[in-house]
Amino acid sequence: MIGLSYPFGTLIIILTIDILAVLVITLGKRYISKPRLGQVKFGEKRKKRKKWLMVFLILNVIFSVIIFVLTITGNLDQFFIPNLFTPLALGLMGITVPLSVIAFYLQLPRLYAYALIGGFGFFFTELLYPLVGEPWDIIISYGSIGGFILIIGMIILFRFLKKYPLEKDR
Amino acid sequence: MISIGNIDKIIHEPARLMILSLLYVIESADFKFVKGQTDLSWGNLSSHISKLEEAGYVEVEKKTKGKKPITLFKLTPEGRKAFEKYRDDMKRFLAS
Repeated sequence: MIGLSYPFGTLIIILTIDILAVLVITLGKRYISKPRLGQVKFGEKRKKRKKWLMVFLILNVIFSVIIFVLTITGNLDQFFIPNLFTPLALGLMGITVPLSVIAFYLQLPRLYAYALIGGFGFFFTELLYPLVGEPWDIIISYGSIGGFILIIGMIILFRFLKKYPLEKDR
Repeated sequence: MISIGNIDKIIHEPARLMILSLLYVIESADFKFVKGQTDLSWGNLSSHISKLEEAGYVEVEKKTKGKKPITLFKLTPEGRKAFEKYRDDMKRFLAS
């Protein structure tokens, strides 16, 4: 992938997607939500929740690095029952659990649903592999999951823009 | 027993009660956020904020971010105390 050996090519693609996601969130906040909703600094209760979320995210990064090292050294399968259980366990532990914790701390119920379908992505990829091969297995599984999330996001954004039109400042 | 006459009249007004309830759970917010959350008009919100500021319950800070002026509202320690007292007074009054 992109001229780099596995898994570095994949890692670079994932990092690029992550950077783009952060950029979209930051720009969306600055140019879409803040001009419509205004500015707010939350109270102590919310700040505490954010701190705990930070601690959890740091632990999650450490966990991801361990999984990455186990993958490149070829030692991952010895921790799991081989075949389909590995992608399922990885998806649930690497995507469903952290996203669910983030959903809990941010009080964002729809993120639980994204966590669940996102967690099954690796599993679907493995199921599709014998049928369509690489790279269509991952494109179909994560493409459909991502597409679903994107459509929901677009509907929410459209409703938000309709509900909160841009007002002139006084 | 508490008499209704002793209830803080500055807070005991639906629009001002809404503003204070909102500011009580956050650190600070700008004009637009408070307006959106309370559904008050610009003029209405401005006049209620002035009354709360005169009573010393709300602090109004005018800042500029880039070239944009921002008006921030914050509950003062007195405002926080007054709101808690009002809440307790109302609870006692309604329970009596």
